[in-house]
Amino acid sequence: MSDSIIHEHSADGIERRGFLKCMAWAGTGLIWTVSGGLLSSCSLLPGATGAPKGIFTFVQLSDSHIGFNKEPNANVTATLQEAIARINGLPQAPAFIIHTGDISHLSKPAEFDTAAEVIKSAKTGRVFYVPGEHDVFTDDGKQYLERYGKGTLGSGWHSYDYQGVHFIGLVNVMNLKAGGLGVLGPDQLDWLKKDVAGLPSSTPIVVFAHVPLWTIYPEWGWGTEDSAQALALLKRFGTVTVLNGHIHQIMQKVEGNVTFHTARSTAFPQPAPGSAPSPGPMKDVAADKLRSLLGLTDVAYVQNNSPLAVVDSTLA
Amino acid sequence: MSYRLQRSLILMLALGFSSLLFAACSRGSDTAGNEAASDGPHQTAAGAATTSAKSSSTEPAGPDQIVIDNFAFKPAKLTVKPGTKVTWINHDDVPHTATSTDKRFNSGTLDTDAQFSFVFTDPGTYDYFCALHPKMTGQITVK
Repeated sequence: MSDSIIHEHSADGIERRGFLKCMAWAGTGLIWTVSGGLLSSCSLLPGATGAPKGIFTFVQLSDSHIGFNKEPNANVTATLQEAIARINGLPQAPAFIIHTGDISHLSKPAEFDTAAEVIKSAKTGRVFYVPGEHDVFTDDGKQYLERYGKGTLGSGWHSYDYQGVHFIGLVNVMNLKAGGLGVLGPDQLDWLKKDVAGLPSSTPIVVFAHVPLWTIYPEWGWGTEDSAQALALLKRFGTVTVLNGHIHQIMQKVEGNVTFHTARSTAFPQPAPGSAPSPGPMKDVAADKLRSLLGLTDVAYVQNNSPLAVVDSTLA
Repeated sequence: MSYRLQRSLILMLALGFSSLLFAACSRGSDTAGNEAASDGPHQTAAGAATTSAKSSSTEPAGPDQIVIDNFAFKPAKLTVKPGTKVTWINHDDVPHTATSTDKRFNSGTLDTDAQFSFVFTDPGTYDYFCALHPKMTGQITVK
């Protein structure tokens, strides 16, 4: 058992205080638990994928980009199907799935249809969504909301409770401004303030949104302009887990009671910050290595008043 | 040379030949005002827009061309005379857009090799960006 783990995509030049490192071993899952904001234990479950048995588990999927068909992945539908197959093979069936956006690549109806068809075969309860910019950019989110807007407000934000945990889906890909990052906007922040106002501070909070809610690499748009305001509203809570997508790789950070985590894509990997001229798909990926760079995230609520256990696994 | 560079050169040559052949006819219709536009872009009184799915079989780009490459508009700043048709072409493997900040023009989705043209008739400075990747910005000055 090791107390320190090293991430294969180390973020050089990014603030290191509180930066959580994790070891990714192809083909297996990694489990880490955090107590009081610090890594307290880490163990590798031999041959297993998935979080420990918990009060309940859920899965985060992200960036399926249905419609993308270039290097390094000519068939993103197939890799999404493989991710669903992995979910269906988990030792504990997830209570639900959260998709953190970029469901489609070009917001085409056929792309949304295909995604829905594939995800339908997941053995789980509901699937919750927040949009990525690829889902809303052609029509200001009209199609996205037609499909996924039920029970949401504004551009698709919503919250729900599950077994005492409060889940908040935020949308930070609408009304993007030239030169800017992701943005939540005043209406959504007003709603968030009211949404959490009555909750006891001991309520575990999970926030999910497409673009990272912390600044990872502004040059590539990897951050949200007004996320600090959202996080200020959540500061009083004992456990906050932030789940994001958009960057197609795992990054993690712990700051006080807040654990930030981004997920892999099921479609294509993107380079580590600054390691390539642009954040486009990594193309020099050997066909037999592709699936080790794609994956999903299994999250367990292990016990009352403790942070969630987050386990990433790859497709191969 | 790399496939991408080769493809760019072939494209430039093809456009160059086309512009020689079609220069006379197309210039006449460009500045007439409201040209029919295919799926997507918005037309306003300030200019006319066209979008093409594939570059080779459509109107020539001309010298006032902006290439989208590695998540950047090149050149980022372009100055043209009133009545000039500016064409954007996407050489990236991901889609982009050229969307003006004042809603004057919007290319819609530009997948790889797609292009979009807009005729700037009024003098002024026009800021635009990519709706998918808002850090990508550009500016057209018409004077």
